[in-house]
Amino acid sequence: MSLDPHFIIQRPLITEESQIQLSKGGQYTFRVNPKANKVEIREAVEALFPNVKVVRVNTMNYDGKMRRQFTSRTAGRRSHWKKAIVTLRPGDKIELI
Amino acid sequence: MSDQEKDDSTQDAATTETADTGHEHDHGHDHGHHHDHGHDHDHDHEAEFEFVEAPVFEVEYKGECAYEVKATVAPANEKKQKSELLDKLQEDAELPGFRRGRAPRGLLEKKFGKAVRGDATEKLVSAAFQKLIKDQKLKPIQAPQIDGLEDVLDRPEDQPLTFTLKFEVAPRCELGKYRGLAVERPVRKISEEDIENVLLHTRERFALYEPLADGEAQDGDQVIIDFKGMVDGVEFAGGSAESYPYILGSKRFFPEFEAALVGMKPGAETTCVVNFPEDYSNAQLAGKAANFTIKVSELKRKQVPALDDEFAKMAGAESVAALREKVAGDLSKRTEADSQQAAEYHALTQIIGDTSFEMPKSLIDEVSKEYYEQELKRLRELRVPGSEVEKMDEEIKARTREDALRYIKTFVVLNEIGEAEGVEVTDEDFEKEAEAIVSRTGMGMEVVNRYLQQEDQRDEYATRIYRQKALAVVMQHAIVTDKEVTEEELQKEAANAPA
Repeated sequence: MSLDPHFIIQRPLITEESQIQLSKGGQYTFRVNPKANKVEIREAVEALFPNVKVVRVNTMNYDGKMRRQFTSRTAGRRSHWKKAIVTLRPGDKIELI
Repeated sequence: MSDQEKDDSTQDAATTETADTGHEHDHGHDHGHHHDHGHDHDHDHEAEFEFVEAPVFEVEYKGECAYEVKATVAPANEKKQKSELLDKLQEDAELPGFRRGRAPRGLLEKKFGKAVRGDATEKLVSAAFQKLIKDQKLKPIQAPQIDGLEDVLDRPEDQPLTFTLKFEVAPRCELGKYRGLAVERPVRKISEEDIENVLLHTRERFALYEPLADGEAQDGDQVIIDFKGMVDGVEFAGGSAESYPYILGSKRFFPEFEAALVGMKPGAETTCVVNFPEDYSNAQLAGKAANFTIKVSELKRKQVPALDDEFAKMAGAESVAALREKVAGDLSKRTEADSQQAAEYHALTQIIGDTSFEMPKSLIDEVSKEYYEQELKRLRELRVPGSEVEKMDEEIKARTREDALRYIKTFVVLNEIGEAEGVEVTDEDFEKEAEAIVSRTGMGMEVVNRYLQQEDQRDEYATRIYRQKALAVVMQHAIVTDKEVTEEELQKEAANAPA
């Protein structure tokens, strides 16, 4: 059973760093579902953008930051998340911006 | 946090015009100024936009100073303007994920493209207008009305920007002859009689009501009365008073009442019947008859002081002779001013008659409206009933319009003459004006000077002095002949003249 690709790929991360990686080696950065593995991510990207081929996927897990509500003294945290850096076949492009 | 940042930067781009200067702190203070004056002063603190391809203007003159200009701005200009704006935006924009000024062009364009395009259009329009008035040497009196920009943002990028500018320029004229005019100056000789008249008036002003022990009340006397008024045997409100001072002949009470008082001696009592008119304002009393009982408790007669040195001192002079001289001086000064004003009026009438004008309709309407409202206010203060005013409405409108036309024409003519004669307002003129104000109002020199230093006051006085000087030039070159007139004629002539 294959999951909805949107369930795996949550959104692109457009930052200064990701811009640099994009311009250097055709690497695109996404925030992905922490439960997804590299294979699932590859398949999801290829499903979302039919014209590209994924060469490599690097992932890393981020812990959500602690957030404190000053009004009610309850502690909590933002969700944990996973970042995936997807390397595409040279020449392939995704129009993000 | 990131949302906050996003909001800020969106605002930067969306706020038109302010966005680009908002962050340059040294220019921050220009803002208020900038907004007050609208488009006209854009170039004050901004480099003028240089067109890649000059805009094409189809100028159409509609008469009465109105212009309609169809402008076409090539798309290359828009592209340049947009990239200039994006450059500026890029320096300042702070987007999430990027340090200030590092946001990529593509992202900016995607996010703010529309706002930037609107901004660019606006700037191009105002730049085009600036260029138009500079090239054609026009003096617009208001910001132009811009048509044809409604769906400008939906138009493809490679289409030229087209719009229509509608505006009116300052009134102008073909100046007629203004040198060597033959001007008649109404003058009036001060006669002994005039002086006597003034003296008599002054004495009457100083007159006191002296109590008379005996004697009969006559016109002009003051009586102190107690009276009681009854209608149908009942006292009514406002119908009674005690120790009420009343001057006979003042006609403040009903004639029947006044007639009853004539010939009364102090301490005497009398009665009278007053018939209220049918249309009396108090409906309860209208058409009824009232019985008054009146008691005169005191009778006072006006005592005019004799013309002697004592009186002269009261009136602010050393002696009777000095008083006479002072009165004569005041009189001649006043008639002199009136004569001069009347002569200036004649001169201006001649020039205006000899000059052809072109005046913007909106200006005439505006000034007429102002005059009209002033006139209405004046009539209200004179307590002219509203129904009367309504009846005269057409006439007032026509008259105020005439006044407005005359005012504008005078203004234009004097400006034009001033320009032709190279009139300039110097600091010396301001000093003179300040002295004049001091002597007229009795304020301190310092106060007046400070007042005149205020920018708007200074501007106003500068234009006033300028016009006075222009008028002085006219009068200098005019051939003035004196014509003797009577007091009434002079007053009438002077009343015509502009203040």
